[in-house]
Amino acid sequence: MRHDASSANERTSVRRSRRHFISMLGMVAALPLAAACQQASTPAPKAEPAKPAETKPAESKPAEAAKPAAPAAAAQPTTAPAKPAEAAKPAADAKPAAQQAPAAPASGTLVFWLYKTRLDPLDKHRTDRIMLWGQQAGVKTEVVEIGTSDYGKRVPAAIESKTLPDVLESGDEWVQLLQPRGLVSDLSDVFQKIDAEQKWAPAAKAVSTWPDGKQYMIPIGTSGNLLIARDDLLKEAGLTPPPQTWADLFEYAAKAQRPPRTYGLGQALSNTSDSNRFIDMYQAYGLRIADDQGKKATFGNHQKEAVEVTQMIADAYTNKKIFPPGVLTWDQTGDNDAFQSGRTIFAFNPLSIPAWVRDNKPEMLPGIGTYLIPEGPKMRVQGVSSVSMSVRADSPLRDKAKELLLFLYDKEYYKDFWPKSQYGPTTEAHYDNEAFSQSWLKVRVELAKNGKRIGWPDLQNEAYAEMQTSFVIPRMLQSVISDGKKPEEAFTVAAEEINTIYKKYEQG
Amino acid sequence: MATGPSQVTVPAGSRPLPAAPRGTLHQREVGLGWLLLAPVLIVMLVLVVWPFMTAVWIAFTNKSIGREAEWIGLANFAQVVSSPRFGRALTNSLIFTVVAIALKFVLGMAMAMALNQAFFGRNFLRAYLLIPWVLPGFVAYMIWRWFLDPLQGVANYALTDLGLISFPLEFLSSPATALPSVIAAHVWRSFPFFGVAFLAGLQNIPSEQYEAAAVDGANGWQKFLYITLPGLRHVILVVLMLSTIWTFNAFEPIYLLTGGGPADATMVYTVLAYEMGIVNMRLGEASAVPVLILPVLGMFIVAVSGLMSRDD
Repeated sequence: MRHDASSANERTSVRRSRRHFISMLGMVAALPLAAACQQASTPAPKAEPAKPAETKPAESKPAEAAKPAAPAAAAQPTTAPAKPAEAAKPAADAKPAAQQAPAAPASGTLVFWLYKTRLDPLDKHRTDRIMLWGQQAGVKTEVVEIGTSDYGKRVPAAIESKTLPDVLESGDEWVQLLQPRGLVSDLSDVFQKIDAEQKWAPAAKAVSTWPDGKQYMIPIGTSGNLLIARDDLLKEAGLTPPPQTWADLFEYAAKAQRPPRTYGLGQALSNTSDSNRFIDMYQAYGLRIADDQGKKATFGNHQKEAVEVTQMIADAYTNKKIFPPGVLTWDQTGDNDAFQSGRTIFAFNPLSIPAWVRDNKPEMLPGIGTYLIPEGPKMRVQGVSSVSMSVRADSPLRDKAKELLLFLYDKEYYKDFWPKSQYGPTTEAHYDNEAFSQSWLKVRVELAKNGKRIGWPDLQNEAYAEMQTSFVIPRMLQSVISDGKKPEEAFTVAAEEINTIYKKYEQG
Repeated sequence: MATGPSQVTVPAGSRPLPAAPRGTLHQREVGLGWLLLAPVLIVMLVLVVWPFMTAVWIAFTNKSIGREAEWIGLANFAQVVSSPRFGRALTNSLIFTVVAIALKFVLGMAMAMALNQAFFGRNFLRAYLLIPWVLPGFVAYMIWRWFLDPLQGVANYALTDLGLISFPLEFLSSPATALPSVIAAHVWRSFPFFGVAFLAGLQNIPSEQYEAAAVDGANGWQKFLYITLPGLRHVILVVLMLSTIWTFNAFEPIYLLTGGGPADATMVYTVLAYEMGIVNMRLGEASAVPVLILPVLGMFIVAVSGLMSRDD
């Protein structure tokens, strides 16, 4: 094709201007992207730290504090300034990514992850109390309800993204994972203040106190699985509750059940934490997971006890048929749903079942009894756990969060708290609360006085936790029950797994 | 072909060309091309390459949540490979994928062939059959969980009321039926994707081909074999590739229906990695699982891509 010069020049000129136009567009598109990337990789400096007053960690006040505080706020207990010397000291072999830092300037929103129960009135009562504190203290406060099954996803994600809330309300097992990583504050000062006023119950003190003698969490209520029984159906079958031993339990369950209408023991045997309840049974027969220091697995030395218990459970499943169909894949709600719908006689549960019955099927409540977990030939393993509050180590609102914890421990508030809750007392001041005079809650006081720290007689540490979260024992049971493996074979596999887990932590 | 300014003939006496920019036109075009590609490349680097390389790197470390990572070489891979659970998870993943893909293919093709016919209510049926695919996975699988529940599920109620069984069946808790049940739920949810894709492909096959085949005396099966399948070849390959990747990486159906139980009868590699990484917080070990799986998927993608390009 021929071109004359002028048209070529014009076209060249047009092409150049188009190209320049597109180049400009490209640059315009690329610059914000580059800027965004720059912002993402470099933390934006906060405007406030430039102010000298706000660089003093303990003395700083939130921006909202400038507003006149409500009179009640002044009446609230105040905490001592945070002392860096009290910072959480992780275990020597741990290599935390985040050490406890001095509290940064107190500003922004205090985020509170609330442990969502199945009891709406309790959750609301607690949320209202937290929000009330926020108003009175002039601290913007946000309450986020977390369902029990969501912790496993949200807490690890929050740790890695460094977005843990200022206050985490959770099962104590989460604090046990956070503390060695240096992610929670030392709350010994708060703990001692409450102790001076209300005196901690022995079980609450046991679950809250770390081997270093410090407290990194404040329990809001003691918990722990108890035996829930349909006393009415047991009596109809001519049985007197409660069954004293594990063997009695299986016998009672077999005699009282009327399958397929009702089944004896509504307890999960699946890959869910409820299934770890059977570890209590193994321990009650003398089995130990590890040595006293929690360092070396000793499970492999207990084949006799393990095989005996495994055979008992397998027999209860296969021959006595006391487990409802489906327990091998139940989720966390399986025991609740089956018992609440009247399909099971016994369940192990931290009393959320009778609490639900109280609120939704009150006519069923008089027929329900709550008891300590049965004993074995060697001991009764009755663990106590707790739902607890912990404070993020590097929270800029750490001192305010401690104030909130004390506000939530107000004696008068707790008088209204217990009747709505499913938990047991945490301090001696709570023993006499009217709520614990109810037949199904009396056992909670006994638990608070005599219960052992969860995991006992073993030591609950990271290796023990991984043994639980890997569902080694439930899978051992499943392989015998559903795969037809011999208990000895299943035991050998489980012992190898537990050894491997403990060795990983032994090596750091 | 790009031509530089020096190649333009300038007649004598005409006004001089403006000073040429530095570099040839080709060089400037290449520069512009890279400039235009830059935003996409940056996004790819930030959102794809960097996370992927990080995941691979983590697999060689002892990274656990909340702790710094230290290089430990191949220890995680040795740990994972020596675990009998990994072997079982890999086997289950393969069975789950192969069976589910085969069923989805058959059902999807049947759906497409049926919906490609003209009949009353066709549009309604097209929308109706899409419902499982449109439902969020969580909802779909919780419906199945409830449906198959031995104590309160519809399936057992129906079978009991019909007098077919006297005791509930444990669809999800028996090792013999757990994996088939999970596959059934997954196929139910996913086959409409095959159906819709195949239907779109069918509508692009010229009807003249079928008419000519009919004149030649071809029967229905022959038309399907020699016209429909070759006509859908590209759609089939793309759908198979995508669905194989999605199915192999499926997490929701297993996690929500059985959690990998009973006794690892439905354990697949995604649930195993989740258990290691999120539940046990050992990200290094967890990352080693998909990194080990990666070559399998990579080879599959290369093979399918090869098939597609061979035809081109």
